[in-house]
Amino acid sequence: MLHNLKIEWLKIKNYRVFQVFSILYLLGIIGIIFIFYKVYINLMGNLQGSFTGNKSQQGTDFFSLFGPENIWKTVCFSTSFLLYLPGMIIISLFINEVNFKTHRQNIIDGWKRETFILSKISLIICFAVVIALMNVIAVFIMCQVTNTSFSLEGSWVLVLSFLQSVTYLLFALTLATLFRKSGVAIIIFFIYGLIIESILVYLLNRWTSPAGYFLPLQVADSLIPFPRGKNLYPDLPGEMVMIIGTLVMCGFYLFFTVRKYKYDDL
Amino acid sequence: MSVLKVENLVKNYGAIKALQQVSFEVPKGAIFGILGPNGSGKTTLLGIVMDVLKATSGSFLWNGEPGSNTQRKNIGTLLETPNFYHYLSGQKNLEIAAEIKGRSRQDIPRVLEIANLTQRKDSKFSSYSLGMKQRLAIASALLGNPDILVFDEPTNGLDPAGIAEIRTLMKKLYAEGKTIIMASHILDEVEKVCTHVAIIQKGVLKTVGTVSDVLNTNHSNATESTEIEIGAVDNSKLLQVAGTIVGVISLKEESGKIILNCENDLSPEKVNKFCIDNGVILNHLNLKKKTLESRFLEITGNTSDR
Repeated sequence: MLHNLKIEWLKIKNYRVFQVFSILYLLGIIGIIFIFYKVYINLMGNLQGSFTGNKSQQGTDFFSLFGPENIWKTVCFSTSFLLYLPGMIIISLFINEVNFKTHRQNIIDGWKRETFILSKISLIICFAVVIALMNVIAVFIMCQVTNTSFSLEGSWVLVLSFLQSVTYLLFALTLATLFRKSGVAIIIFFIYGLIIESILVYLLNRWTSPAGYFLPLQVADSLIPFPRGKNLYPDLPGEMVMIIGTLVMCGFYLFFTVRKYKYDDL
Repeated sequence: MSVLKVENLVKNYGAIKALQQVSFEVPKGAIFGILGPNGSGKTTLLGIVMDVLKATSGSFLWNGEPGSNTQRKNIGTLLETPNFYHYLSGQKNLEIAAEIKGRSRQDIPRVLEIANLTQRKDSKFSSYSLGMKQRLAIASALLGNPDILVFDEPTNGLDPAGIAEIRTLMKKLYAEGKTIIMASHILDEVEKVCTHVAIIQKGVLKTVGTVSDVLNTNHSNATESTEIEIGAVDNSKLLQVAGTIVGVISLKEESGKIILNCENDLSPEKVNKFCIDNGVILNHLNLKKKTLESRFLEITGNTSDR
């Protein structure tokens, strides 16, 4: 598998889409946490100040989202909004292979059909590991910014973040397998993830709660809900239930993509 | 043992029958041409034996064993169009191919040299001309010096000099004992380089065998006959005499020559002797040799599969 990953690296390291979106993702992490932090601190401070009449409360971490007990959740929650970028990389990488028929050439040259798709899945695992590592770095930096001591307490959420990344990227791979046109797959990825699923979650939870939490992407989002926002997620099942739900969803994506690639004409 | 044995291969795309019960064997050390009009099923056939397409039914064996990725690693293949990463250089693309095939990267300079691409090895694939792309695909197929080569329309996009180079390369590889399977719709190309040929039309295998067998054996759609072209100072007398030769099926005058459509056992020597015995001296005598083109048109009925 390491050899196959080495081949994948040879393929992508000079791929412009990969380079550009990786840089955008790194900048995005810094940007989103900084914005989240600034907006939250100012907003909460103002609210607190308006209740107490004490303007000096501006800049207070009112819900202690950046305190030692919540900082891991806060950072992983914030950066999860950026998962669309690595998702776009996966879609572009896969569809690029299809468009230029290099996926066929890989098979002709001696890869099994399963090897091709499993190396893409391995790449997804690598991306998810890197995303988790980025979150560790982001937590470390935020600890310096907020004068919080860096601690591994609460770092379990990294595992959840890893699962969430894997789910998003496998979903992207499934779309790429289905649609085979990068523009179409990316648009559907965004529209479904940002709009359609939010509406479905709302509607389903309104009538058949908690079914809405088990939708394709929401199941992974529910692993890392907004810290200290329990009221925002009524009927959210326990963490272990959501982990199982996420694993089942990932299993479905894996089954679908591997099966389709193994038996379809290329 | 044959290098490739195809048995009752069928491929359907919905109602379209791309291949119908195709069976043949490719002997070791042959240059085996698969000939057919565009859309006849040549690429589909090669796609199936290289596992990028799934057969509806039927089977194939490489060296007596069912197709596997290990076998494909030892087959150099150019299928349809050159498929490479457009944003990578020729060298990097060959490195990826070598890694997948499990071949040493040290073989890359050799194949680049054969493909005449050493000077442009660091240029991006997207900047290559059609001919260069085709040559890179041939270089990739030659990586690791495989014993079996599969080429689908190998001279596509090449200029006349490039085509001649590919022909020379194929003959060289054949002399080295390689087995080459080549699909083409260019009859002249197949006739010039192939030892064996299979003709496919509308997914049906029409004939298969050595090139000379295919040229000379009868086909159900074709009459078993040869053509002999003769001429004399007095063609009107010759026309009268020729009409009495036993074995002449029909005759016609064309551009000052008389063309005899004869039974196969009537030789030019017999025709010449008969004419002399009947007082006509021939100044022109030519056995019109069948070309693969005429044979192909005879077999396929001169129709396109599109």
